Amino acid sequence: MKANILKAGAYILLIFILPMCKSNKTKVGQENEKVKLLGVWSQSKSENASFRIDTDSIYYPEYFKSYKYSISKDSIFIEYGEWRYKGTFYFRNDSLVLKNQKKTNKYVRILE
Amino acid sequence: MRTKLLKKYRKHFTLFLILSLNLCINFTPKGISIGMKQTYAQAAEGTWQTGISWLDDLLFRFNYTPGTYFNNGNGDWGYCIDCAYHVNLNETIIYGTNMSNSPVDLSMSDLWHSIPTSSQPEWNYWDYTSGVWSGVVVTPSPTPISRTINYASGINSATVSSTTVSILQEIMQCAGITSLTITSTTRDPESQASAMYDNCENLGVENQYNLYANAGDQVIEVYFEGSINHLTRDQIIANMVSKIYEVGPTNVSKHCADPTVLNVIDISPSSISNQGAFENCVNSNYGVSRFISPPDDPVYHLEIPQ
Repeated sequence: MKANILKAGAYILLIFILPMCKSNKTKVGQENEKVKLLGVWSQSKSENASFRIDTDSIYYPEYFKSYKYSISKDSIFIEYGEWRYKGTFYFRNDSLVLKNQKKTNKYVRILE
Repeated sequence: MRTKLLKKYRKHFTLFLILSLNLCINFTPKGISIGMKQTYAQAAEGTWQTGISWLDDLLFRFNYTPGTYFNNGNGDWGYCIDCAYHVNLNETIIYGTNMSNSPVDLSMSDLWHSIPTSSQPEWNYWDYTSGVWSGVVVTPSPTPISRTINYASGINSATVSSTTVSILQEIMQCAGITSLTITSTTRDPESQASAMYDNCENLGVENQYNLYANAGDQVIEVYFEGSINHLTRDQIIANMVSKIYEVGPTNVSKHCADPTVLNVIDISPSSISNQGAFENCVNSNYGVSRFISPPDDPVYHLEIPQ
């Protein structure tokens, strides 16, 4: 009887603890991805920077303007005022790739 | 032999002569794109035809996808009935492109043709489901569609040339949109130097060095030298302007140029009702030398040589 109660208790604990571990892992993974995004990016090392990704905004030097952005898993959302860019991002070697339904853009890191 | 050939292809020669003035051929990353301002023409046999059949033949002979495709106004290519309503019936732009995602059934050489029956013009298209030509009566707009180019407040519209306006009108017609808003035009070296000066003052020299390539860095060095020598703002900006001219304005910023040589304009994507069609039409327009879209830039950036 006692053993059964202990077993049930263990199961209940597992039910609560496992999702917490998973959630924490996702959060940590997302933070890591965000840290990797930070820096100055350009289409080629000989050109002006396309943009600089800061913690909560993307700065476009050619326009002297910043725009808010957010990430969710591998998706990135950039708020350009009246409209929004939606795409996915990933890294290939030291390059950043932004991709949406229309096109794929590749950037090289100029500065961390 | 020559006479036989001439006889065989006389229809094509006639149509070519009639239509050649309205023909443009572009080489795009997607392949060849042929645009034609459409006019009715009478073929040598006495039947009415448009240039579409001629274009089909041409594309077919050169192993391009047979068929004539309309930009369907939704950022894609297809043979849609509605497209005919976007433009005046006798001024339709037709495209033939060797796209990989072309319509599935390409067995017919003619997807569209027009027959001016009595006083009512009619488009006929090949209905693949029923396997018949279906007529679509098209009423051309009684008045030309008004297309408006707006300028955001504070924008210097004087640097936008008539050539640029004309190209923008072409793009708007192609994409079936009626208005767009220009948010920025060519920046002169004085404005560029002034903006760079303010950024160096507010954000620091090192911050700015990280964002510019070699030409821009040279301009920032001029700021730095002027700053440590306690020159005035106006003196420093004047020196920066000289440096911009020396290294080449377009090398410092893609917005900086001589507007008599290159028009640079930014268009707000939110002002475009059909962004997919707009992007396709800009990409296929021979007058645009460079086109950048988000997320490379926060807006649509077009460079148009004068």
